[in-house]
Amino acid sequence: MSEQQSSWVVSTPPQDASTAPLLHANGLHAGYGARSVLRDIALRIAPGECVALLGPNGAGKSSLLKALAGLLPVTAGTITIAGKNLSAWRADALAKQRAYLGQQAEVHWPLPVREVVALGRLPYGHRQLTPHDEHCIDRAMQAADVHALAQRPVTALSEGERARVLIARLFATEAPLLLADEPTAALDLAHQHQLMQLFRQHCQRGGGAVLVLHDLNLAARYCDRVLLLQHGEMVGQGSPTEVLTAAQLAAVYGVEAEVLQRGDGLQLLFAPR
Amino acid sequence: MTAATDARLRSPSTHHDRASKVATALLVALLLLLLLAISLGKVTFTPVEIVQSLRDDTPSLVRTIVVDIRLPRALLAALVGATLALAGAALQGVFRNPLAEPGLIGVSSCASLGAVLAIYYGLSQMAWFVLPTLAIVGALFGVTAMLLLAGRRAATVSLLLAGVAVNAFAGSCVALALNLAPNPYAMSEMVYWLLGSLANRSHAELQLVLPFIVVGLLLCWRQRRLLDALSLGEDTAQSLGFAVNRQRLLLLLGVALAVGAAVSVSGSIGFVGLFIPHLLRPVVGQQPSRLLGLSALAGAVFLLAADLLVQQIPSAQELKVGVITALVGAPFFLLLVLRHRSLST
Repeated sequence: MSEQQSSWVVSTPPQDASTAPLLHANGLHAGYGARSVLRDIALRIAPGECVALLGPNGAGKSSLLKALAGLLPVTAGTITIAGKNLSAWRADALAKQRAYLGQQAEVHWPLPVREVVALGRLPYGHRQLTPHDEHCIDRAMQAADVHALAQRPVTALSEGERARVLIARLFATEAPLLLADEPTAALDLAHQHQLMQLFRQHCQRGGGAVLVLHDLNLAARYCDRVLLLQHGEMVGQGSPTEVLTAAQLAAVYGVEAEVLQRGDGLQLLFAPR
Repeated sequence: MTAATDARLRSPSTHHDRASKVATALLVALLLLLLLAISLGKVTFTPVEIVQSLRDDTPSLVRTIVVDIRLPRALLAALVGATLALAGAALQGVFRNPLAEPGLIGVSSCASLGAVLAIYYGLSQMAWFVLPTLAIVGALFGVTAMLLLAGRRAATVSLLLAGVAVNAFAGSCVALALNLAPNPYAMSEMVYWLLGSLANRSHAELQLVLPFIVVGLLLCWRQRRLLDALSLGEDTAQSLGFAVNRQRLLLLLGVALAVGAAVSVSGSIGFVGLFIPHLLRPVVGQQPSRLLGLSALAGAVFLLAADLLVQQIPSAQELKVGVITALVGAPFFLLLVLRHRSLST
């Protein structure tokens, strides 16, 4: 298999955007109605950066990801994507620039796997799939390891297989900025690492990724930065080494953690307090 | 990778092939049925007789029967069938539930209520558009009630319960309206609205509803890709560039326009929107957008055939076509419910 097929080629961002961050959120407040779930968040994703959103249940990780994707009303602060205010984007152009994978991965009809992945090409509005569309779909299916399932009805798959199909859908969109909510949750160990490597490759080619993760070791190993949330507020942001300290983990997660420095990064060992 | 596996992996194209074959067959069937519909009746004409009468400019009995009596009825049957089936497919896509259907969820009965009010209170004589408009307003009410009661992604139980409630409410309002109506024939004519019939329809009725149905179906058709996107949920659809709320409203408006107009001339004909999309779903590879056009075609064929059938069955009083669709559709509905139940347990 050629190098071309096995790896991600992110569509080259426009010239002026190469200097602009893929995503820039500042002083961000967001909420559902009167209830504010996020307060004063700042986040900047430069091309090549993979950032993990961490925090205990209810900390606001999913809400932050939705707000960044433009799915949750922002009550204060700004979000710019590729240098342009989120609200100034046309919906179809934005859909090609950032792709979003939600947490409750659902498919409502027994669509064949390949048709589900092909939905990632909807923002391009082609009546018929173009050869390039087909190419993106095939490549995404190979990368997410669902190629062999192409004709299976998606509703007949296991949870982990279905999650990988939806990951392939995410990548098939070819958006430079990927936002994914717990993409590794249903995956087995090998596929978790494969997927994180996919996100890394995506970033190495000039893309960016914001991932909600529960597995701190995955975050520490594959992400350039982590953003730690608690009660809707940012309690730390920086490299995994800076943020994931034993003291911080005890304060936020309420767990006793042993933080080991390994050759290729951190390793965290946990014991309930 | 070999060419053979490549072709297998790309096999959605076989769905396209299959769908276009089915579409061609349905189109041929539709044309044949239209031909049959203008030939058959109390007097049967041969195609030669029909062509001859059409060639002559002089008015003839054959011409009157074919052009003024049989043709509008046949066209209306096809149009109403297409509307109901496409509306069913669209509603199923929006609610992401295979049991959503204009009749079952109460859109048709709300439209009937509007039509009954227009007819029995003399409002329809005020202007030509009053009858379809009131039926459309009724249909809109039904769609809105459904959105509010069952939610935007309706679980089967809440969908069916909301449908029962809306149907019961609209049905009792129809009965009340007819009880209070000044017209002594009201009760007997109510059968039209409850059972659905296409007997004695003329060009006037066809022209009355055609614009509303065309606009309604076009509105639905334009939002077809939204239905594909919605199969991944609302957030994902939104992230793929769809204005989910606005587009869904447009689509439901289209459903209300088309179904309301159809019901205002045919009464409420049930189940067509349920089993036609269901049968065709495997043909189009389960894709909601591609279900719309094919369902419309199959709905036209089915209702035209059913309407021909009721005209051929010898009986003292002509059978209502809604009876046939219910006879076919109700067992099918039960089957679907049973299968749904076994899937969810």
